[in-house]
Amino acid sequence: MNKKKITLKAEGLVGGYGGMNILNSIDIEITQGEIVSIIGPNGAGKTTLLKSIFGLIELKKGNIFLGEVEVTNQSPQNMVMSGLSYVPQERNIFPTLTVKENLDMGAYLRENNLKESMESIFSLYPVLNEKRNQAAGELSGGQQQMLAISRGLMSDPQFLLLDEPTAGLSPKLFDETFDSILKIKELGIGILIVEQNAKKSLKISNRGYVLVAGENRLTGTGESLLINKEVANLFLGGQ
Amino acid sequence: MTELFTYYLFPGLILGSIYALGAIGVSLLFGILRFAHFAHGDLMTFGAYVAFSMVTLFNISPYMAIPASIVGGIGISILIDKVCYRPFRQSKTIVLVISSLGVSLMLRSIIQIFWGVDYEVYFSGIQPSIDVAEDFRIKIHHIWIMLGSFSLIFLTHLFLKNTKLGKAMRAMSDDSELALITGIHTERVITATWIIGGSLAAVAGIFLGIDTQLSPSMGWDQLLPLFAAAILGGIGRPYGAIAGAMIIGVAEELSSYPGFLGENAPLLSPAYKTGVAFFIMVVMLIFKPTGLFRGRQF
Amino acid sequence: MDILYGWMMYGLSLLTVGGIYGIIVLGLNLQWGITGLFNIGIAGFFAVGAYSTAILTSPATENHVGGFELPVAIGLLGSMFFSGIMAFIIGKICLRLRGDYLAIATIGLAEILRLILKNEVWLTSGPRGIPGIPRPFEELGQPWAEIAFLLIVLTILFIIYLALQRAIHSPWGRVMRAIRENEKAAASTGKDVDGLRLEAFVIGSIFMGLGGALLSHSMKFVGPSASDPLVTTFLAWVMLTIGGSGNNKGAVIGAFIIWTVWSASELLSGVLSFKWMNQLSYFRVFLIGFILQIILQKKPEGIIPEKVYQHK
Repeated sequence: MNKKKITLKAEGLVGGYGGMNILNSIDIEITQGEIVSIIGPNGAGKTTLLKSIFGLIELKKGNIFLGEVEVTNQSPQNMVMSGLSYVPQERNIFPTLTVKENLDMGAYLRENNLKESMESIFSLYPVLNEKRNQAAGELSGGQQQMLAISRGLMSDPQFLLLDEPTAGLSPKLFDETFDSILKIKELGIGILIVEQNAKKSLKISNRGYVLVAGENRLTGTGESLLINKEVANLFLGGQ
Repeated sequence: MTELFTYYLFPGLILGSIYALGAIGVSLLFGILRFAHFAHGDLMTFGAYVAFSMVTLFNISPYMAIPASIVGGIGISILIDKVCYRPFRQSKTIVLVISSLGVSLMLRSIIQIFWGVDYEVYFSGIQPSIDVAEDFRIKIHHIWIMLGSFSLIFLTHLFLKNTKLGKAMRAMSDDSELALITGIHTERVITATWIIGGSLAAVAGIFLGIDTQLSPSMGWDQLLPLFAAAILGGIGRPYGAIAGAMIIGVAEELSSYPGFLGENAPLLSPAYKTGVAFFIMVVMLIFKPTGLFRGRQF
Repeated sequence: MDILYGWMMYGLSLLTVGGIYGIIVLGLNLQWGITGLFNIGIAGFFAVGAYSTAILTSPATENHVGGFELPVAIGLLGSMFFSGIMAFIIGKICLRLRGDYLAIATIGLAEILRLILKNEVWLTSGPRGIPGIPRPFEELGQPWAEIAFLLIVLTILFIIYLALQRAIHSPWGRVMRAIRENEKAAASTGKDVDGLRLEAFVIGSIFMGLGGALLSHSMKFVGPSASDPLVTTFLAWVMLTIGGSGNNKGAVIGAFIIWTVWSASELLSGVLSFKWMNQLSYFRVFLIGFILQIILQKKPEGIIPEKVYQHK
C-alpha cells in the first residue's frame, strides 16, 4: 500500500466502429483506490469508451497512459498484463465452466498467489465458494454478476472497468453489488464504472463524468453532480 | 439376441467410437472458430494414408503407425489453418465454410496424387476374432479400436478438464470475445484445438481403415455422421459429441437390423446408413438446434 | 485443317458447357448472391434435372423406369418441374435453418440423393447410367448440330440472365437483398420473409436442374457422377466467388472462365506421359481449390463486384 498510486489517464479519445465515430473527444482519468462513474444517456458512448480503453476498439485519435507508460491501442491481453480488467455488461461468464474454472480463467496470465486472490474473493462473495464446483450457467443472475466481477479481479488488476454491473438485478441485489464495489475499492483498486443507475453510483463515487454524444459534458465530484440541476434533469429524472 | 449384439449393436459402438474421435474435433472447432469444418473427414483420410505408407514402407502394423500419423495429422492441420483459415478470422463464417470446402477437395486431390485412387487395406486375409460367449464373436481389431478410442477420449477429457490450456479451450468455445477480454491467448488456443482435432482425426482415419478399407473418399463419406454427432451433442460440447457419436453409430447399424419387422428384411438397406445420421441431424436442427447437451447456437 | 476443325469443335463444347454452368451459377447467384441462402447441395438439384430428362427422353429400355422417348422440350420442362418440386419440399423443411446449418442440411440431402442414384437401379439404372439421351438437331450432322445446341444453350442463358437482371432491379429484388442484409428488419416491414426465401430457393434450384438436364443432352449420357459434389457444387461456387457474388454478369463470366481453366487443364494431360495423366486430373482439382483460395484472400468481392444499389 505504500507504493505510489498510479493514475489511468485518457486524453482526446476519438473512435468507433467502421467509419462512424462514437467517441468524438473524451478525456477521463482515474487513480487507484478511486471509484469513478461514467453516466450519460443511451448512445452517449459509455460502453464504447470502456471498450476502447481496453483495446477492444481501435482508437483513431487520443492517448491512454497508465502512470507514465502509454498503452494506447494495446491488445486486450497486454491490457490485462498492464493491470486492467474489463467486465462487460452481458455474456461476462463462461457458462459451461465451473465457478472455480471461471476464476482460473480470470487468472490466465498470472503464475503465482492464485490461492490468495481466490480466498479474498471467496471472503468477498462467500456464496461463490459454496458453489465453486457448479457450472456458472446454473447460478442466479446476481451470483453470475458476482462471478463476473470476481473473474475480473483474479488477474490482480490495478483498475477494474465495470459495464453496468447492476443491470437486470433486483434493488436488494444492487445494493449488495455497490457494497462489494466499495470493498474492492478498499483493496486499492481503481474502479471505472458505467451505470444506468446514476444516482446510486454517483453516491459511492469520488468523481463522475457525464457524457453526451461522445463528448464530456460535465465533470465533478460525485456529490456535486448529484445536486447539479442539469444532471438531475437529464438523468436522475423522477428518481 | 446374440445376433443383434454381435452384428449390429457392437459394430455400432465401434463405429460410434470412431465417429467420436472425429466429432470431438468438429465440435471443438465449431465452438472455437465458429464454422463447420467441411475438411475434417479428409483429415481422417490423410491420417489413414500416412499410416498406410508406414505400414507398406516398414512392414509394421497400423497400430504402430499411429504416432507417425498423429504427427502428420497435426502438421497438416496447423498448415491448413495458417494458410487457409487464419486470413479469415474476422470474415463471415460463410467464407470459412467455402474455404474449408476447397481445402477438403485439395486434400483429397493430394491424396489421390500421392497414393492413387484404388481401395487399399492394411492387412489382407481373414481378421482374427475370439469367442466371448456362445455365438458371440468379437474381432480382435474391434477390441483394439475400442480400447484405443476410449483411451484417447479419456486423455482428451483429462486435458480439457485439468490443464490451463484445456480449460481455456472450453472457455473460448463458450464465449470467444470474453476469452479475449480475459487475456486468454486465443491464437494459442486455436493452435491447440487443431493439434487435438488433427490428431484425433488421424487416429479415427486409421481405425476406420482397419475396420473397413482405405479410399480417398473414406473421410468425406463420414462427414454427415460427424456433423450429426456434433450437432446432436451440442456444438462446442466435446462430451456431447462423444454421446452423439455413439448414438449415431448404433442407430446407423441398427437401421439395417432385420429383427424389427419380423420378416428378416432390414428396416433400411445398408446402403442408406448415412441417411440415418442425416435424418437425426435434420430433426435435431429443426426441433432442438442446441443439441441434447445445450450447445451453442449460431 | 483437321487440327483447326478439332479446335473449333473443342471451342464449341467449351462454350456449350460454359453456358450450361452459367445457367447453374445464375441460379446460385439468385440463392446466395441475392438472397443469402447458403446452398451447397447444388449437385443434388443438378442430378435430379439430369436424370429427369434422361428418363423422359431416352429410348425405351428394360433396364430402368422410363425411356419414354418424349421430345427434348418436354424433358427440359420435366427437369425443371422435378427439381422445383424437390426444392420446394427441401426448402419447406430446411430453409428455417441459417448459415452453416443450411449448408450442412443441403449437402446432406445431396449426398443422400447420390446414394439413391447409385442404389436404386430400377429408377436410374445404377452405376451403369442412362445412355442414348437425344440431342436436338442431331440430324444436322457435325458441326452444325453442335452449333445449334450451343445456340439453344446461349439463348436460354440469355433469357434467364435478362429475367434475373429485371428481377434484381425490381421491388422484388430490393426485398430479396433486404432479406439478405437484415432478415429481421425485412420481416418487421411486413414482408413474408419465409415465402420469399422459398421462392428464391425454388427458382434457383430450377435453374440448377435445367443446367443438369442440358448437360445430359449435351453428353447424351448421364451416370452417378452427375451427383459428384466436386464437378457441380464446388465448381459452381468457385465460379460465383470469382465472378463476383451478387452480380449476374459476374456469375456468367465466372462460369466461362473457370470452365475454361478446368477444361484446359484436361487438355494438358494430352502432352504428358500416361503415368502422369491420371495424376494430372487430380491436380486440376487442387488447382481450382488454389485459385479459390487466392480469390477469397486477395479479391473476395470477385472480378465484377456487386453494385451497391440505393435503397429507396
